[in-house]
Amino acid sequence: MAEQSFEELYAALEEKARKLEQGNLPLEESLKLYEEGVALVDKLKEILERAELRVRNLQVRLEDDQAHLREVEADYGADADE
Amino acid sequence: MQVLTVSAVVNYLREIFDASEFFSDLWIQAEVSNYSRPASGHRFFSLTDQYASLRAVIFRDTMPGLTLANGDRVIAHGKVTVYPQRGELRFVCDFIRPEGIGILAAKFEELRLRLEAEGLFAEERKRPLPRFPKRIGVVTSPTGAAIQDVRKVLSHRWPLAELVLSPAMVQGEHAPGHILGALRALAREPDLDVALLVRGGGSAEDLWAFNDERVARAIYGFPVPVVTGIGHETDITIADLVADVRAPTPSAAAERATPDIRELRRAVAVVERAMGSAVRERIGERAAAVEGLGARLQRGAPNPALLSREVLGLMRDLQAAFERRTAQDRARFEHIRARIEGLDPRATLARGFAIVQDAKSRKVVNSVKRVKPGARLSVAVSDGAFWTEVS
Repeated sequence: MAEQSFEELYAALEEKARKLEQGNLPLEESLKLYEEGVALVDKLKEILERAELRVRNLQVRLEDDQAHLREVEADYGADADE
Repeated sequence: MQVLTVSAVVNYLREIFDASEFFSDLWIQAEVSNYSRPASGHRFFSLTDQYASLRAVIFRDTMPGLTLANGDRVIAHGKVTVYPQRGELRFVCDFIRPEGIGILAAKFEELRLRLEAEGLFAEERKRPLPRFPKRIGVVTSPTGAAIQDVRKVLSHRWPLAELVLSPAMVQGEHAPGHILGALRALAREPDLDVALLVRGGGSAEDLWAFNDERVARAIYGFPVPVVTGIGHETDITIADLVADVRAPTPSAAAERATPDIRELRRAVAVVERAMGSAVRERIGERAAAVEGLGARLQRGAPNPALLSREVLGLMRDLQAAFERRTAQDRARFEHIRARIEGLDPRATLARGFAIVQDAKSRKVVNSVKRVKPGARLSVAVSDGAFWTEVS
């Protein structure tokens, strides 16, 4: 299984916390939810602590701008014909 | 040699004008003269300057509230076509403003009205931004201040993300083409969550690329939500209007597109504490339930402590009864014994009485009639007997 994203982990945590606080659960289930929740908290904390912004540059040939414009114009022409 | 009808010639002329990109999209600066508005509701006038004149029309449904006066200096947008009935040129005007607002402002307004009518700025097509973007595209100059601002904000605020810079020149006549190319390259990027289109402050001319219709349409058609941050607070471009979210500056665009990691750390800690108290509460409830259940059991079923108290009580009663009985028996026994002992002549003898018997006949002398003077009697006392004579 792929590593869960922050979003998935956070959503899972919110869900478990919601169920837990809602109550009407058997104690065993509450304890299980709590344990799973704490495990998620640990993972989330680790992600939040070790995060470092990654930066990547796309290679765009700047001299292609006129070609882009011509392409776009052709697209609009095609749109107008429809 | 070919002979043509007038209609054929005029229609051919008209086709030439209508097919021309140049004549289909003209901006003209001029003065208004010969203005008239007949019952049809169309407005007819001439655009003139000191050397030339061009007949113009604004049809009834175009800018319906607008009225002109002779002598107005205007900037007009429209196309040149041929009016066949008279074989004359007509300027069909779709936008006209007082000359004072300047050509850039007039162009901006014309495009704004047109795209607005087309629905490009509609609120209902604005897409919500993802809550936790993983891959954030940025279209801007690789050397400008904007990319530095964006990097700084993202590093502090949401370093979980990956920033993908799609570089573009954002100023000058080539800028629209660059921006289009950069947007297209970014649109091909897999798993992109949101795109920022940003540029630092500058003059209206500097920001002009962001008022380009093609750029506007590229933003409109972009596969993921676009956040703009162009110029300063007061600058509004067509790109801003069509974007899903308009932020006033590049830094603000980066902020709008991301959650704050510090708030999330706090939120996770809050959830952790809330779960802790929830589970403690559950345990408390459970413990109370167990106690309640115990109490019910005690009420419903024999209570060993109570039972043993009861048994002990009974036993004490029994014992007491038994002891009472015994005591009574003993008392009766003592009584009987006393009575028996009372019957024992020795006890009487012990108290000083004596048994007097006739020495010969052994008959008990219990009356004076039973003795005569000189008779021999035995006198038994508690510890022995002796003889005596009656005198």
